[in-house]
Amino acid sequence: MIREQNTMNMHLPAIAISLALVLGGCSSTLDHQLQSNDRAYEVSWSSDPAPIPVNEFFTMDVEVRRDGTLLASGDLVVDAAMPHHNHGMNHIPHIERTGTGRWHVQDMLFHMPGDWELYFDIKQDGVVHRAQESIEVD
Amino acid sequence: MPRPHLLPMLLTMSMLATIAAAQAPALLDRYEWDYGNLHAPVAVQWLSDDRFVIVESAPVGIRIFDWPSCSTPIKIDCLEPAGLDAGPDETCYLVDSGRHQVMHIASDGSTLSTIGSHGDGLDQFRAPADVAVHEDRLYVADTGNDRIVVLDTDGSPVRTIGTRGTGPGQFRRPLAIDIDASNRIVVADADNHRIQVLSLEGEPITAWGSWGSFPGLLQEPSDVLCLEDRILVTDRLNHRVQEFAMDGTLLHAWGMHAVKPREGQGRVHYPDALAISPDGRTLAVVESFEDRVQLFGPHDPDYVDERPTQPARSGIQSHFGPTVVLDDRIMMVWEPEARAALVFDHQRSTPIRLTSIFSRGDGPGGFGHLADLHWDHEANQLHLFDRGTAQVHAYELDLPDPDQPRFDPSMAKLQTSRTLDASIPMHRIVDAERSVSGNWFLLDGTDGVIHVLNANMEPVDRWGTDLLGHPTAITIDPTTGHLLVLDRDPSTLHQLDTNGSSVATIRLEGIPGGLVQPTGLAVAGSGDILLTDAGTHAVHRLGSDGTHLASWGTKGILHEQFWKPAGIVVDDQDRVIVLDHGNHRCQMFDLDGTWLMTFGAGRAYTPSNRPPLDSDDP
Amino acid sequence: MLALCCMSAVLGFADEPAVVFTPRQQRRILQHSPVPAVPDDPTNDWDRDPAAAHLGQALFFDAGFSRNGQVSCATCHGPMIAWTDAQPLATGLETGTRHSPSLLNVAHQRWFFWDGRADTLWSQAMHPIEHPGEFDASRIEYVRRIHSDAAYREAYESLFGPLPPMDDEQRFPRDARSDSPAWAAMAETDRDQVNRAFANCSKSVAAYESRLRSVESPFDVFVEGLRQDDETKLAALTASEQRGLQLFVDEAGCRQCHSGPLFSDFEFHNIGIPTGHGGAPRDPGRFDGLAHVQRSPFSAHGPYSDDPDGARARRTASIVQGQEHWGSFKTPTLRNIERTAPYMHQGQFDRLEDVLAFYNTLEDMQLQDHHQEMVLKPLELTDAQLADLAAFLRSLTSPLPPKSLMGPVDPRTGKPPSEPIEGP
Repeated sequence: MIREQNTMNMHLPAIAISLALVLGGCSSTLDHQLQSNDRAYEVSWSSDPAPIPVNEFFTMDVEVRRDGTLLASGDLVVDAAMPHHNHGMNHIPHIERTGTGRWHVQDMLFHMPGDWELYFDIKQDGVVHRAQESIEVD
Repeated sequence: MPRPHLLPMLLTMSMLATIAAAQAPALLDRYEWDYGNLHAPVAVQWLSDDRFVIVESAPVGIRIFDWPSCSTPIKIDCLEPAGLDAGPDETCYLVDSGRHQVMHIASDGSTLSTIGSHGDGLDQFRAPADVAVHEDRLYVADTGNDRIVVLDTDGSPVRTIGTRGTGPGQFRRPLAIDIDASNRIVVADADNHRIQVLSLEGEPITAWGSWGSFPGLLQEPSDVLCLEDRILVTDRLNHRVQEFAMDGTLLHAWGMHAVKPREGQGRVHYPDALAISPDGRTLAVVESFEDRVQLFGPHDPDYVDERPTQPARSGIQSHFGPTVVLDDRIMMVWEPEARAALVFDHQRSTPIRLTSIFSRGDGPGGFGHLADLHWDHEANQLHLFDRGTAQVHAYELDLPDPDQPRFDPSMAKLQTSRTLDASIPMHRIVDAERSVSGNWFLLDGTDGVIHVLNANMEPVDRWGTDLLGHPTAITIDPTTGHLLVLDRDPSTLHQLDTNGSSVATIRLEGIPGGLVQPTGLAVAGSGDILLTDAGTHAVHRLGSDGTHLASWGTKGILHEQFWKPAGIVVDDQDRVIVLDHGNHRCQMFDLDGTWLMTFGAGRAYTPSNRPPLDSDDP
Repeated sequence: MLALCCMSAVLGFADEPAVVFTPRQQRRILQHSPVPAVPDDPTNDWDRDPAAAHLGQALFFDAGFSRNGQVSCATCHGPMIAWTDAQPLATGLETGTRHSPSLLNVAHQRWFFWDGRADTLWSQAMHPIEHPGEFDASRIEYVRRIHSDAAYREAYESLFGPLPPMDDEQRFPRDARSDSPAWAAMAETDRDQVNRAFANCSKSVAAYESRLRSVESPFDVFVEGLRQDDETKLAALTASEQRGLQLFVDEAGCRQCHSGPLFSDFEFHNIGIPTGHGGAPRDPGRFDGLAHVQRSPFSAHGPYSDDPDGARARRTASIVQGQEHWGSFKTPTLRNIERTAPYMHQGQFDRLEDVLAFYNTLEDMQLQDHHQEMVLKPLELTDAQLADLAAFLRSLTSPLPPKSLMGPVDPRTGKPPSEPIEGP
């Protein structure tokens, strides 16, 4: 598999958020940083392999913070979809909590090239808050 | 023609139904006849091979069809009729969903007694939808309580079966019930999009179906009919009948409405109920939406339907479901068939679809069956109130430059999906509104209650138990800030202040032609009130005190005509937009009812751009 | 590699305009070659075992396991026609409802059958044995035959240990098909022994099938040339084939599904293709396939898997079933496509050109209903472009596997049955 030839484009807003979080003292060492769509949570993640390849299983490490502090309670679900194709992934990813506010995700598979949306759904107190990032795999 | 007495008919009905089950031929899909121009029929039962009774809902009544004639409507004391079944003695059982009871009707059509009352006790119901009579017991699809209630025919409670949920033996909006030849309860579990089979004691045996349009999948099944060797299902949003073996194996799927409404002649549109003739050779399919009952006979292998079966390929065909919201730029509707919220830019002569918001299933953001949408332009928040999954979803929209509107499936971003406090019966909410102060008002159409939530959607109050009968819509009068609630029983508008105190009660009595099925409600900037009536296919404008000012619309498919109009909104230019649900389009008028525009997905017509009368539109 | 990404490759021909590949197109082209080594199957401890492959090859060509003694795996997967049968629909004891796919490079697949109802190559091989329209046999008679045949028994027991005592007909009744009361009445441990032996035989068949590689095509030479900037190797594709390749990785969008070195994403799609029988689609495809694989005892997470807690098992347990899977079928590999006509899951199209014509116009496409959003758009290519695409697809033809894999062998040696067995 020729992983290094694949590309993944982070949207500019995500880069801006990433910078803001770093300047704000966020301690995450993971590659990507973003905010939930309601601005309540900060999500950091990285993938292996990186960048995400076409049609090859990958894993992820995810951290979730609120006000800069890793989340002590709540659950995380990670999913992805191709809105232009009306479908999602063909597997439900396996998600394991590895520590306070930290999760390891297995069985992620972007089986088609194109525009994917990666969803992080953080559930606390009966409310699901979504963070998302657009990713092109080619 | 003398008015037939129900007594002998009903006696015959139960006996003949048993015979029919044994004699039904393999497949009854050949169109034979239809009865159109009915008044929203909801149920049918055969009396003999040539005679059957149809229950109508708008206005309520019973008609006896005695080939080739039909009786005048027989009035019955029923608010909202639903399922019908014949008992073993000289009586009939008819569900009155509006009054939460099963009516026990004598041979002259009068009410002998009623069984059940409003509530969730052992012998109570919430908006029940169907009843099956079996060996001196009644099996009631207690839809609003998401359970089956079993009673003796004298009304004594025996047991209740199931709770709300998605697991075996659980239900989400059970709409229909029948007992099969093996003494099993068969339930159309509508919001779980499946058929569930249980023992008479309530033990789950099997279930089949999941959401979808392909053969064997289901979208909101509305009725089940058990024959000797198979189970027929009206697959309502897929516009077809599906036949399953007793283990759920698909045998046939037929009757699909393919291209546009009104097709008929063997193609069904939103089928609601089924019945089979005593000789087992004729099947009746009730289509309330089409005001029609179609009859089908034994399959004809040589018959070929020459009409097109493949839909247009220009992408999704919007059905313009019953709910609409808008601001000065965008309009949003709920599309039940696709389980999607569609967002249009309506600033140009032809509205442009900007995005479709869908996420099916019960996961985060997953839609089931939306009750209402609410758009807050300032906050850039779209709230979707989902009865099916009992959640409230909030989306933000990344709208394109107004000068360059374009379709983008990624435009909507889910912010939150919220499961409300357990005291809020989200699955019974029919409409939602938000005050300027940020409080939410959720209307429970079954219990007649308004639930008040704060801006964080936490419950703070509940109103209206004594005031409201059968409310269908709630809105806020922008001129006074008062809440306005449309009630069907009786036809009334309640004005409430934001503390829940009654300001005025307006009886809707002076409307020409009367109100039959008031559905949509809106208030113009002037304070004028606008109503749609799906029963008379009309729009009415009233003054803020209820004085009748204008009415327009008749039943039909031409511009300025309606077919079961539903949602209605008024924009800041006092243009009235009506969801012409049955014609799968929107129509726009001024406040006096002058037609301005008709539009659907990718097309629009105005007085200077009318389509020819023989056009395929709508 | 970096250099390739920073420039456009201009490939000239004496009498035709040069084909210019953009850096993006080159990057995509490189993803399609070379084909990596056959992946390890952790659910099958014998997938690399040569002795198991010998036993598997003998089983593959042996028609004696079918009810009428005339159907073997090779009936539908004939080595002389690229391990397929050149028929629209597979025919064992009866004619089935789907086309026989080629077994060339089959070990690279993620799912097996058109609907993916098997998640390992070895569990795939079990299905036809008991299918009424294919072998119409039973696993108990299958294992009994292994037990009663000296060569098979020796080969089997040297690999997997003792076979169950199949001559004890009290414990292992004759004709106890797995759906029969006789099978249900057997002791659970005995059923388990039969299942295990049946699975072991299938793992041997999988070991054989893993050897059916065919991966060195003119296209692969061309890609090597692209990597090495070697003009001689670049000449492996004609100008027309190169233009077809360019369409393939770009304008025509073929790689949306036909991705990677095997030109398949190994996943499932519904392209609305007209049915072979002319009516509306009735085959649920993947929708039923994934329900089957999740409940099968022979899946990667079942008791007969050699890695029941591994990633393969976990992924089978976590597949999603939904409306989008109804009527979807696995993307076939395009390698050796020239040899594997007719095409599509019901063999609907006789020629490669017919397949391209469908994608070009979507004529007679089957939409389920007016609620369905259409994603696929007609390609609307010119005749010349279609000819280029077809030419490129024909450049994916590779030499067939060695002749030693093309016929029956002695299960103990892997040599032709006629050759004497050497003594110890």
